[in-house]
Amino acid sequence: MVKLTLNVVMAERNITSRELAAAIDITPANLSILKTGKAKAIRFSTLAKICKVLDCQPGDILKYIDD
Amino acid sequence: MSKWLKFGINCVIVLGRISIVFAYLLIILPLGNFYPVIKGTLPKTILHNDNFLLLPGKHTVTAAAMQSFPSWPYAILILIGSIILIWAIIKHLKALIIILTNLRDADYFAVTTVGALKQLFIARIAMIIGDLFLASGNQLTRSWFYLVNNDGVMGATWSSAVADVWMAIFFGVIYVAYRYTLTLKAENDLTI
Repeated sequence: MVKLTLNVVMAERNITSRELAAAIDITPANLSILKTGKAKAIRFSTLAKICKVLDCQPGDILKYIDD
Repeated sequence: MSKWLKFGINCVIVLGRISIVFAYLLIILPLGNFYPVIKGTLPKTILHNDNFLLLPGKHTVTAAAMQSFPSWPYAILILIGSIILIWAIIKHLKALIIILTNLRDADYFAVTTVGALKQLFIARIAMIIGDLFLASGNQLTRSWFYLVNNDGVMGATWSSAVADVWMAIFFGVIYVAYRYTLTLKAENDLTI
């Protein structure tokens, strides 16, 4: 399965959920869905915005874990 | 949603609730068949009942046919069929009320609507079974007295059961399609 490690990168960049949500223009509730791993999918546009704001690569926030 | 549409839906919900109360009372009616059975006058009661129509070209009922009429099997078949049918009607009405309430509240993708659609499908299956019992009972009056029961849903024939099979398929398709729609919506909602 693919897991989002957004928390780790956010902690490294010292950015709060509210700040990130505002910067990538999604609701805090949707960001919470992403962070808790409840999301079924992530749009390329959202991924691009997160990478731009956090100055990282998709691979930094997405990890493949073998079931 | 317009004010009038909301008002209309509320009216149907109220009518549905009243109908449920009457439907429960309807269960008593088929029990009335047992009184003439015990008295031994069921064939006479059927012959004088306005709800039974005579088949064209058949005008006489013999005394032997009246004596050999299987009153107890007839009353039991009608009772079982009626109870199943009334239960299914109540299920239909309850499901309709749930669906209408969700529509009125603009809750178009409610889980309770899926449940209600499933109930409609189950009720339709039950209706087929009920129709088979009623059709068997009504076949007895047709074979013995050449009389066809014309008493609304209680006058079910074999073709009613076939029609209900189609309706069950129809409701089943709607239920499955709506369930998939809800799954797709949930997936879409969780795509960020």
